Order: sequence, then C-alpha cells, then structure tokens
Amino acid sequence: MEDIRDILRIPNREVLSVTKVLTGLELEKTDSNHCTKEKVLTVMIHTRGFFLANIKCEMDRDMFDRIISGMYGGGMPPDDEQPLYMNEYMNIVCGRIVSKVNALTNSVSKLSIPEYFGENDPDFGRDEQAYHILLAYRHGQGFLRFIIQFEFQQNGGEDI
Amino acid sequence: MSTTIMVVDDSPFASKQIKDIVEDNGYEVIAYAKDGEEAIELYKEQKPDIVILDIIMPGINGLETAEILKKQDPEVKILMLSSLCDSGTMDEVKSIGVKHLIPKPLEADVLLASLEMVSKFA
Repeated sequence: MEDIRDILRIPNREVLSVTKVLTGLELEKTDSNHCTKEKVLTVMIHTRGFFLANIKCEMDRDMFDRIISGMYGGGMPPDDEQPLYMNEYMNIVCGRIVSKVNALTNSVSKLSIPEYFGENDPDFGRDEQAYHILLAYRHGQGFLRFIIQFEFQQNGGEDI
Repeated sequence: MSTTIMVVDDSPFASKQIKDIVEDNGYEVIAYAKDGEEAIELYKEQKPDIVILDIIMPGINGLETAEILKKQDPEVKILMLSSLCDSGTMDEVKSIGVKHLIPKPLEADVLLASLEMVSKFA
C-alpha cells in the first residue's frame, strides 16, 4: 500500500481546492479549538469499499450561507433548496477525495448519497482502531470542519 | 435548430450550472429530472437529443438509469457526470455502453467539448 502520509494529505488539499472552485472562498486552515462556538449544521457521507469512511462536515450558519451563496453566484436559493446545495458541496468534495484515494491505492471505493442533518448531530461513534482526521477552517467569522474516520478494508472491493 | 438536452441530477446546483453553461452555446434544456424514475418517464415524452446523467442519485442511480434508457432506445446519447471520477467508475460506465464521463465540479469547456463529442460520436 502507498505511504499512509500520502493518503492523509489528500482531504485537506481537496477541501481547499474544491471549495475555491465551487464557491470562490479561500478557506484558512485553523485550530479546531476555534470551532466550538454556537450550534452547528451537519452533513454526512459514507464510503464503502477499500477506503471505508464516515465523513462528517460541520459548519456554523455564517459558513453555510457563504458556501451556498458562493455556489449560487450571489444571493441565496430558496430555503428548501439550500440543504440540496450543501449536499452537492459535500458530494463533490468527498467524491474528489475518494477518487484521489482510489487512484493512489489502485483500489475501488464508492460514495453514498450525502445526508443533511441540520442542527441534529449524527454521531457515528469513535472507532479506536480507525484512522481519524480533523480538518478545521475559517473564512471571515465562519467556521467549517471535516471529521473523517476511516480504515482500509482489504477485501472491500469485492462487495461493491 | 438547437440540440435538445435532458438534465438528470438530484442537485439543483448542478442543473442550474449546466443550464447556464449550455444555453448560451446552441443547446436547449427541455427537461429536468431529479432521479432515475423521473428521467425514464420524461425521456419517453420529450425524446431529447442528449441526456446528461449524474451517477450518484437516490433511488435508481445513474448507471442503472443509463442501462434502462439504452434498452428503451439503443440510439440514446448519454453524457455521464460524477464527483467520483476514477478508472473504476470509467470502467463501469464503459461496461454499459456509455463512452463519456466528466467530473464534477463541472468546467464549462469540458462540458461543451464533451457534448459536441456525444452529439457526433455517441
């Protein structure tokens, strides 16, 4: 298998580049301790296959608005469409991450449909045997964090 | 006369982005479907020249939808989209007889060049 450090570098690179392309926002990496204020909005996605992961993205309302307004080209789409914009943001960021991991490891992994939870917290539990990545960002007053728990399933490609 | 397109994607962002790109370039989006079931029905009614089809969707996914559309109409022209765009996905797309897959996030020049290829060679 490729060096785990090469795999660990992928998520941060893809979050920054996809966010810039989709929204125009240049996120600033920050300490996760800066991300503990007020209620957060959550969207989650899962992968299956060799790269078996739960990926949770949390943000405050300010960042939610910044991302969606950026995707919409200014202004905001109707309220009922906003979660679908956030799901698509998650789909594209995570799709790029998984595509890069697949290419690097010469393996097959698939992506679930993203699920928006609003202010509910869908805790997926902590697996001590798994790898964990916490990436925290800010833009203006807004914050965003990705929590990635993953493992490699050696026979994972067979059940796809 | 414009080449007509049906967009199949559960994301209103993707549908809007595609419409904004293609409609200034000689194409007309005549139908939108947010899932595979709706796409299969709309294709029968509208008979678009090209179907732009996302892979990751709720219900019948894009690959399954493409297979059904090709059974209904072997001449259907399909351009597939996915955020998951790697060699494994390309192999799956080819295995159902579709030749064109482009990645999300969409780039206007890639989308337009692919549509031209699909309309000529698919």
